Amino acid sequence: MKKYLFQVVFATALLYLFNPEATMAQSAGYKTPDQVTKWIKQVDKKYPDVVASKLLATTPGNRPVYVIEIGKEAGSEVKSNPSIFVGANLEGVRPIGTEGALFLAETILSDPAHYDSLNWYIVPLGNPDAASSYFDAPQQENSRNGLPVNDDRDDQTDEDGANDLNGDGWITQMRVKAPDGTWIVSEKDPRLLQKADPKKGEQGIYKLYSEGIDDDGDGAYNEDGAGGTNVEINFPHKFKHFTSTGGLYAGSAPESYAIMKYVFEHPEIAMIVSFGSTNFCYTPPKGGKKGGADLNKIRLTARQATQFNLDPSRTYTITELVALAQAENPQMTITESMVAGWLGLGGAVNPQPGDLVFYEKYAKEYKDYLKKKGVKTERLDPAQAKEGSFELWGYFQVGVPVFSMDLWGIPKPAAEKSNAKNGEKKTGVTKPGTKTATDPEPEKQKALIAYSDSLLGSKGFVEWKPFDHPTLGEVEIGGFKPYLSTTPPYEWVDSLLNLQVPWIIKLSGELPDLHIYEVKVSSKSSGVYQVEAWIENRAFIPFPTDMGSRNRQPAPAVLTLDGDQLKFLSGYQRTPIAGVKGKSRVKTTWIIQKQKPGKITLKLESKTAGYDQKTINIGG
Amino acid sequence: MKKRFIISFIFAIAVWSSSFSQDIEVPLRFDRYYSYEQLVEALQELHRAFPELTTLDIVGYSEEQRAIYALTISNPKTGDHLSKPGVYVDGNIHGNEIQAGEVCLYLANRLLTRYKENEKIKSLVDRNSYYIIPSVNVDGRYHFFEDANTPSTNRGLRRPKDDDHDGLFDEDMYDDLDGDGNICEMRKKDPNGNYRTDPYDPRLMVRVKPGEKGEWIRLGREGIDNDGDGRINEDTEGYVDPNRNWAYQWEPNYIQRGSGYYPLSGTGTKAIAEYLLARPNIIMVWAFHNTGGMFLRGPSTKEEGEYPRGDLRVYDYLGQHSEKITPGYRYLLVWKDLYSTYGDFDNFTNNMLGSYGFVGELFQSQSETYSLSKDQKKPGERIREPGKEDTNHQRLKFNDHVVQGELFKSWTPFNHPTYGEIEIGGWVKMSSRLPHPFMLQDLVHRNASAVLFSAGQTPEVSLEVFDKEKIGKNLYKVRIRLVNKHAIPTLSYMSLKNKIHRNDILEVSGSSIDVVAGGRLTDEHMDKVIYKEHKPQLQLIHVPGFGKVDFQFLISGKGKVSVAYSSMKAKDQKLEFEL
Repeated sequence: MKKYLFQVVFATALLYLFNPEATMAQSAGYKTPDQVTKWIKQVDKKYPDVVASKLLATTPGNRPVYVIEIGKEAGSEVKSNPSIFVGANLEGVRPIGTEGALFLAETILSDPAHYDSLNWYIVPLGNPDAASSYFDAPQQENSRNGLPVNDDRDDQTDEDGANDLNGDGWITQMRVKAPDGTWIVSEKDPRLLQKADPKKGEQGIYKLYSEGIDDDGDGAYNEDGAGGTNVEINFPHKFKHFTSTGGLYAGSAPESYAIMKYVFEHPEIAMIVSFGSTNFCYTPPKGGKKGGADLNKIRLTARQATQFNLDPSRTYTITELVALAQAENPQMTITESMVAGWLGLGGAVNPQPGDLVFYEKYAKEYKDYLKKKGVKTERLDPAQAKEGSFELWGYFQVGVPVFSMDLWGIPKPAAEKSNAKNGEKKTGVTKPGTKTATDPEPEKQKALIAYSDSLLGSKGFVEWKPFDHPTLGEVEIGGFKPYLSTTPPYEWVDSLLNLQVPWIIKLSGELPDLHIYEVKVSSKSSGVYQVEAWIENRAFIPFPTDMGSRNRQPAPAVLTLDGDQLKFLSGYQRTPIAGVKGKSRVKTTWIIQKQKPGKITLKLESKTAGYDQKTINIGG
Repeated sequence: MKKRFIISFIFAIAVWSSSFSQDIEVPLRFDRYYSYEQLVEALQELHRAFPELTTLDIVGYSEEQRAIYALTISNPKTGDHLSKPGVYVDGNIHGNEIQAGEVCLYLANRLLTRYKENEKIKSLVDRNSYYIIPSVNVDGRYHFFEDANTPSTNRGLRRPKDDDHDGLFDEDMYDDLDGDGNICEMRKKDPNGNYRTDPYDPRLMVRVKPGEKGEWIRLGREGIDNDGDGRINEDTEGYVDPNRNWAYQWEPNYIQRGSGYYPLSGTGTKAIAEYLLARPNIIMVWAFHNTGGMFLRGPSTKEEGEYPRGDLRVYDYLGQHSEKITPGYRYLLVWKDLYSTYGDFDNFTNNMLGSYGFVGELFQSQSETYSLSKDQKKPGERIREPGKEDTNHQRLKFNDHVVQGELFKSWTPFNHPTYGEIEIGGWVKMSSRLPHPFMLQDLVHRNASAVLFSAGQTPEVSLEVFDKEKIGKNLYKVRIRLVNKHAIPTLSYMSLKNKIHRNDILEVSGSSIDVVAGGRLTDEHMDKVIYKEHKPQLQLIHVPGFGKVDFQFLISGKGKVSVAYSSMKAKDQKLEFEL
């Protein structure tokens, strides 16, 4: 260990001597949470004018979670530039996400053009407690923070975790021949197991456990390991209560709570980037989920019908109901979301169709970009975002475009390309805290073993070897090594990041960009003018996203018309602009009275989409 | 005339809110309302008077940095507060619903000042721990007393929100145009208006029927267009509703209005959530609101499905008793009988804390009657037939003859900057949702009694060895019985279903014994036992309400045997016997 540390320090020192930019260059391996903190402190010190790091939260395991603010407004209380929030490795099992975030910070700092009129808020390590497991011996893939949880609700907490029985340094799996076994050896590869299918005449042979003993003697294996909450799925979009790792409630983890608080304290955040398990750059967020109310066919309960004096036997459209409610409540401005709320219709569960348009456009461009860069190997499709995830929260609740990247994917096995197309869904890796392994998705297993064989010299897999288990008797220990599916060898990281991270820089140039396109003034009679202003969005991404329009979360742009002795005959001095679609223009019209000729000034202000101003002489 | 009216009115309000502030002493008085400062003083006085039975904590601070106080009532001589069933009571989560705070104060006052004289109260104090937060929304309470308000304003948290989506926050509040401390209603004479004077009482208006001539247009609550956008009072304080900000089934603002940006975004709601989760002994929760006269139980939305049957039995038992303790109040299911809510408080405590919870909606405006009739309308019924005396007419007469005009402000001319000559009048701030102080005593006593009834039903488990038989050499069959004589089980069935709370634990131990087998005895006569395969000496259990659960152990060895029952919610029990 000491020797290793020495190498790190030495290597860093050398790099620093030859290249001052290289203080931030990678050391010999993925960075530990402590090394990430150190890195942040160094960068903070090196760029005092454009970098400010802030402690966001302290984890249950007593580790810091930092945000690095980069930009001309870094550290200042009030920001006027649009900003991009980056969250990385909230699951803790993707050290490459953290490396990606630090690499992104370096890239931004290498060219002032990247932060001239844009702030970046980067959380390079959102789940340091879990991330530290990568560096533990034995190594066990773990996404839970350090919160003690009594998983089996008995008299002790965290008393039955996995054990490295064969002492090889990895927590893998145990297979045991048992009368009630449900697994058999795969015909494709004797190292793999598959669920026995009675319809094919198969009968189960093995039971599958994660590696360990029954520490508390209650008959269950590894059912109450250390931790905790997976920060990544502790967010409030479709949060699921009562899961093993999701946490008690959305935001119960100090890490996720602090991220939500920070994001909502910065209404200038125009885009969210995530370096985790999903890849919205490659596969847009998935739609097609059931559960969203059909807003064109709303049926009321008897009670609601009585309450609003409506007919429970027919259906209404949301537009009808808004009109009815508006007539009843002339004082209020009734919106669709208010009515949907009163009736308990629930929220959006699928990405809005208009938003999928830009997601699909950029996915195509991203794939073209990879091709152009000479990437030939196909990969398995990235994981879909989970309910309660950081990414989905950003899209559905913050209402900004969210782009995620997994930075590396399992290569598609050469032979069976067509089959592997559907290969995603569940992760097949045994999670700590689960009693037995979940059904590993067969396609992914095959891809993993092929990857291990072809690129890792078969070192990603521990061959099954007999072991004399104290309570289960003769077992075999083996299986995929932890982190095999999430973490490429460190030697690849530099080239992967050089390939992937610039795409985020490219997307940062695609933010909604509002301008005053044209102002027309026409004289109506003496001293009375009609002013017509067109506001345009030069970007393809709409302002705000369609989801942002639905949830009314993003701040509006505001158009202000000023001038000496101006009287408004129609329209108001301040006009909120609720939205401008991508590559479109919207019009605002005023009729003003101005007795003396002179200047009028039109100001366009948006927290996320820029600032513009035009002054016009009228009447002269 | 106008001036005199205003002065006399201001005087009336001033008398209500501060006439006793010089002499808050224990026992507390309940013919008055307590402002935020007075409420804090009252809690401090209770704590000073009963230091051995109380702890006064600051749970956290509000958005405007006011302290949120919790008074704990627990007798340390009967055990640490966490070792006894916890009863949590709060009020005034909506800033304007102030009498909920008085119910909490009354409950504390009652428990403490009658402790020595009343055996029943003494036992309720000795076997439970009470956690009382009289005012959750302390900023709301402060501003409700200090500022001009309608009966319904200052409900939410002091977290600015851009209600009208124009980029400005809370910029078009109500305005107390006539400076009388109330936000009343504005109306304007208009022959084309859709209201006319109520023939029965000229202070009220009724909608015109087709063909009738109009007389008034109603212009909403007192205010001006502060931000010059052509609308009045469209972006007032907040709005984050602290009772939609809790973290169980929270939904964003576009689904659940007032939920806030994220769960527990309120500084006070977050602090109280942490306070609650640090007290896993809490099994009974009461949250008081106004208005309507209801005891509401969850679930809060239809999609959650009904509560488990075992829990329904508890709710029905407590709810039906509460209805009788406070005649006129109804025991209701919130989503079905009222409306669906996401992120409300009781759903949070029921699911996260595993407690049983009621929302007490205090006060019925129908109780302000001026009528000989005994057969009053059913609570909640709101049929208004013009020309016939209805609740509003009776309430106005109540206002005139029982409280000498303190609840309604007569229509008074005012020159409005936008509307010109208008009239301002209507029900004042301290009306409609609050009982007049002379009626407060009855309200606080009955509702506190409903709380005390439920506190008397928190689980109390007794442990006994009811059979012991030698069945072999050094081998004994031992039967243990746990009885809960109260309605509330030691773990809610909801909690058992959610699988997030520690089970109760029954453990048999001894230095020279070995528990060979053990499990639940389901039929003592037929000797039917569900034996636990592993670790038989440690049973994970719960004890139902008004019921018992038996266990059978086969024990080999000799000498002393200890049996320990431990529970998160009920008091631990121990016994020893010899083999």
